[in-house]
Amino acid sequence: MKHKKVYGGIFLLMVFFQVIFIAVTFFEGLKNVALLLFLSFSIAFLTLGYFHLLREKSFHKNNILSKYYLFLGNIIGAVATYYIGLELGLGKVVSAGLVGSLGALIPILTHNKRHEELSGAIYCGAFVGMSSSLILDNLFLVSVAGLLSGIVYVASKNVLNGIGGKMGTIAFISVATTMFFKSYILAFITSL
Amino acid sequence: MEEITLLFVSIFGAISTFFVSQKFDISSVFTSAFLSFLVAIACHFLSGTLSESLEKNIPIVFIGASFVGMTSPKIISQMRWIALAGLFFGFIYMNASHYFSSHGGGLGTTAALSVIVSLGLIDMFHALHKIKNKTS
Repeated sequence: MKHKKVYGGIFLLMVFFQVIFIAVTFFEGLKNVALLLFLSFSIAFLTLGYFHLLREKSFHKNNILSKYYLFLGNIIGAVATYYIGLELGLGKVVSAGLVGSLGALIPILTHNKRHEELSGAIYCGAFVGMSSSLILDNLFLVSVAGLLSGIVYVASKNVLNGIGGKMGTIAFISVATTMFFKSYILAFITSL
Repeated sequence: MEEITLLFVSIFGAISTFFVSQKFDISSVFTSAFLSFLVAIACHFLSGTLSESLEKNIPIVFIGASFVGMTSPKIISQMRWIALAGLFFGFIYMNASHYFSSHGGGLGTTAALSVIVSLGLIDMFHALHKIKNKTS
């Protein structure tokens, strides 16, 4: 029951951030009739899609919470991608592709199928590291966002399984949350 | 013309990742990452022949669409629906808020939205198909 509540909460968290994403796009497109029609159409089918996912019961009990090394995978992926992309100037797609490919070689080199989880965690972290320096302006913030994405990654291991873009949604949640803390909470603390 | 090119890249990114991953039984993480890496490198070397906008956007659209192609065949089994989700990705990407363009995970969120919209469409398509079969 407790697991079901956790996964239900994570499902709602992911839906919440996806809805915020499309809602902002919707309000920016209010002046464009064609875009408005397309977004209305998308939102209608998005609702149907969410009902489809709920019907499929994609969340269930799992003991993945014990796998703390996945946090580390997310942090490494985020820091490595950010460093290669911005500090070495190779660009965010090259760096994410490189980090993701190297991470995906781990289960092949170790002949251990279980390490596929780690390669997924590294690739998820890589999406965090694709953030602009205007958003995450130092490696400490990137590490914090990576840690957050690790927490969401582990907690959501059985939520929205098999849906393309799930890891990106996790990265978006962690980057947006890090930005929220940076902009409001830290500013509030320093103003005291 | 550039928008049409990006829509094609979007469809190609989704179906190539899905196809290679399923056909050769390679992990979707490796397929997405490696194909995106190759496309980004190719765009870098073709920098003289592509416009500045395409050179910047093709790798981004490709990696985002490749997230769509990472969808499990248990969720979407047919290539045409993956192609449709890829097309949705292209549309949403081109119209997505600039507010989120610098956030990591923005592409993945767009990909997830595209896949879930496609799931809604598949449901409606199946429902209509059932109604049609009952009435005929």
